[in-house]
Amino acid sequence: MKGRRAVPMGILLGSLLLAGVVLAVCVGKYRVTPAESLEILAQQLLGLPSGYPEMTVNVVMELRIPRILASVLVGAALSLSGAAYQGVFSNPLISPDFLGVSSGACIGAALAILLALPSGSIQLFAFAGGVAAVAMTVALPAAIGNRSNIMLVLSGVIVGSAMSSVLGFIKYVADPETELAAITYWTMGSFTYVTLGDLLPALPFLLPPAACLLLLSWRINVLSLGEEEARALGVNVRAVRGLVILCATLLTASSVCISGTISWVGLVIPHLGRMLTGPDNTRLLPVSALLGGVFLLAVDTLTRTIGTSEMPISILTGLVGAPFYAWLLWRQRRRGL
Amino acid sequence: MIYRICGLSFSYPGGPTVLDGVSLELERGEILSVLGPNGAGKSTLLGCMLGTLPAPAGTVWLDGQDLSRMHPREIARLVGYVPQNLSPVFGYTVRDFVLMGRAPLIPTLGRPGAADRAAAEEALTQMGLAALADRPCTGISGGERQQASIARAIVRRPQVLLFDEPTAHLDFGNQLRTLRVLKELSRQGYTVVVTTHNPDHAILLGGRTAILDRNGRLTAGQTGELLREDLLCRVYQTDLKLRYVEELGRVVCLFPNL
Repeated sequence: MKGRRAVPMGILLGSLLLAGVVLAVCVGKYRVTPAESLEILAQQLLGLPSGYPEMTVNVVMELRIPRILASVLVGAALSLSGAAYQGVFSNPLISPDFLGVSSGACIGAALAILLALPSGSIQLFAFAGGVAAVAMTVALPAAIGNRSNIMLVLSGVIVGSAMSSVLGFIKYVADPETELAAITYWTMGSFTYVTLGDLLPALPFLLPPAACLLLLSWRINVLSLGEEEARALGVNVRAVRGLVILCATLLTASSVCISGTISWVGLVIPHLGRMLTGPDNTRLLPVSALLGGVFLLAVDTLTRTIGTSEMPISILTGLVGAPFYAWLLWRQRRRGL
Repeated sequence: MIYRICGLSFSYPGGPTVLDGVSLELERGEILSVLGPNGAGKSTLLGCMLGTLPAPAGTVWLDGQDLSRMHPREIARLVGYVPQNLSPVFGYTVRDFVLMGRAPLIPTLGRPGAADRAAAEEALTQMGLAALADRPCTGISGGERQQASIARAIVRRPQVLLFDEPTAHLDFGNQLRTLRVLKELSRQGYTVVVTTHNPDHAILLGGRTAILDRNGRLTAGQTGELLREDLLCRVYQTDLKLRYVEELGRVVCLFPNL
């Protein structure tokens, strides 16, 4: 029955996202009215001269719009990849964080910074790091000969710890004046310095994998039955699962490239989506993407509006995500889901 | 002939031989029970028949084609599989769960269409699950889940149905109901292969029986002729009695006193 609510849910979340975007453009230390922000946006898009002070135009176009777009895109990407990972590994306990993808991507980015490679290479290294981490996490249970869900989670913990040590070493040898600050930015997660120039090159790494996952969503349902059953249902498990992992890793690594590591989103949002639409990935994936966009937009807007200085975003996602996840587990257990 | 297995041998890496030169022929529409002690390779045999376990020696022919050269989708169109342990992680509705049985007929990037949904409704009705269609498959009983799994196997109308110990986790009532379903599916023209631990189930189902011993060798024959006390005692390494019960009009397999 939950499935029939998926379309109204999509409309509701889409409307919420639009309202959130308008609100986020307006709020902050420098207040702008919705009418002003829309007028500035229209003028800039149409190339018309603006009668507004340069400061107002800059706040809307240079600071808030890129930041809002980034938070929505990263929230959607992390949630979509989290839902896809959970489906394809038949394990609702995993997320890009647990599989070590985020920390792997972070190491890749840190290594590129350490080697003073050009900015385009950071994305490439982040992706390679994410792929290497997920490959190790998946290979470890296979090598041990125990492919259970709990083993996969433990393997993620092992790889994650190893990644943390490697990252610690990179930070240790990094130049404290220049490189260390840049690396710390990746690990803390922030949208503060995001520009449209950072976002546009990331789009080819975000939109095609997202579209691919949405197209594969029904097949992810079949894969979530487990390897043996999926194979008996004629699915080329290795190829389809490989494609889903590739797309989800690309989404996560690209997100890390935009904002650094942001924890909990890829784990909590798919759970919330499942509560709203049920486990069918044809509905869950788009709903999770919308929900993730709304969530991270709200959290980022909070980080820049509460307090006198801006809080790193992972602090707030952790503070919200951890108790929320505990509540979700408690609620699901009570319902016997 | 739907299946022809010639000289099939199989062993897991670092383990002993599970199947040793197994040969078996299966006619369309027949029912075959596969008996054998724990670890004799009953599930492995099904895996080889399904193509999920590639056999290093021997050939499996399915509908006249070499199984090792067939695409998994082609195999799944011909063969439906009902696994032993069904413990879905996600609470898909019974309807969505059954619909997934149409996967071999749906393109990789596609989704089920009207014909697939109609077939799922038919399978749900056939298995008496229409009332449970909107319930999560994690919230129904083991017997109902078994029925849902059978509905998922027949929803694409395959020619063969492979059941891996379908009564293993069921109470007495559900065991009997499942055996009746298997018999009915055989009457409807499906070729049915069932692995079981219970010789009585093979007797109840009739047809042919194949017995796998601990050395991975297979003996097959008509159930009534093959199942003899001495053979069962040797295979299970225990005392078993076969007695004719007039009231039932058939032989039953009995344990001795403890």
